[in-house]
Amino acid sequence: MPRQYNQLPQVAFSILLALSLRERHGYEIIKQVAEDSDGKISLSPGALYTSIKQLHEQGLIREVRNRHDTRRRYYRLTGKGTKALGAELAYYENSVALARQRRVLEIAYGAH
Amino acid sequence: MGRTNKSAPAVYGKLLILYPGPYRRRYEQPMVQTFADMLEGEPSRWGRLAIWARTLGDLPFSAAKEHLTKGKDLTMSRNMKLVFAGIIALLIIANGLSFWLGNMHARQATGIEKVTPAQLADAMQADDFYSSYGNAGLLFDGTAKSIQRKGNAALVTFATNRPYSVTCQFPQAPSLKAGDTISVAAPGGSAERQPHGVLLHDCVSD
Repeated sequence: MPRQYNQLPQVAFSILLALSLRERHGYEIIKQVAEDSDGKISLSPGALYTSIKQLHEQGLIREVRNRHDTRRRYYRLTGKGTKALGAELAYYENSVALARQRRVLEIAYGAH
Repeated sequence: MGRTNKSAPAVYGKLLILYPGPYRRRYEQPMVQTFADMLEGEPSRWGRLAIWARTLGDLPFSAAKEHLTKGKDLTMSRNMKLVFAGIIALLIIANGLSFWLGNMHARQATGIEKVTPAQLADAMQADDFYSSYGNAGLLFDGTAKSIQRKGNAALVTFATNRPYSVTCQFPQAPSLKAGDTISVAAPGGSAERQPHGVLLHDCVSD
């Protein structure tokens, strides 16, 4: 059965996106998610690690040690995580293309 | 960095007892480290209090979620089960059934409310405290009316000029005396109704 699109909750999607460039530790993920969302998503450690645990259990990320920073745990996308992120982005890309085609964005935000 | 910030990660670490044992053993150290990094990276006092408020506001939800996903976690002690039952009761009051039906995985941080002790007292007296503040992290400036110390902890009652009082339970007692004004962060969901007031648990001050 092909993977259904948009299966990731917003926080999980944001974490995967934050990890797409390089491995990061908890605080770096929180900062990147806040930056990527223009400050709309402010994660607490509790919310972050609840999602990290689930992403880890699903095999979408893995924990890695950083030899330059042994105090912190770093997380990295797995191959499966990269595919899941790609599928999610494809869904959003398709949705935005449809919205443009239907001129939904102009209605929602006004014509520019 | 102030005295509270040095001890803040340790206080937060103690609060993580709300999580299931296996989860705590795996994630306590990175959670405390992340929290310490967040405070370290925030230069402003209000910003640090906002981090406290957001973190405390989220704590019961994420802890309860972990217990729910574990379901029958046999490692929970009897006391922890009682604590957990208390959290669930508060959540039911604060959020109603929407908590159970909502997508908690995608839940973002709860809101932060800047309030006054008088507003909190009035809300509890009018029976709308939990609907107004039960799902929020609370930030307020309060003038200490009385202080009861017990070891490192303290109960501080703040002046409200109202029939109802506002008392904060600090796991780590702030350095203050009666008449001093301090800034406080507390999770609204931890509030407990008193005969003539409101008791906020797990308060912190910068």
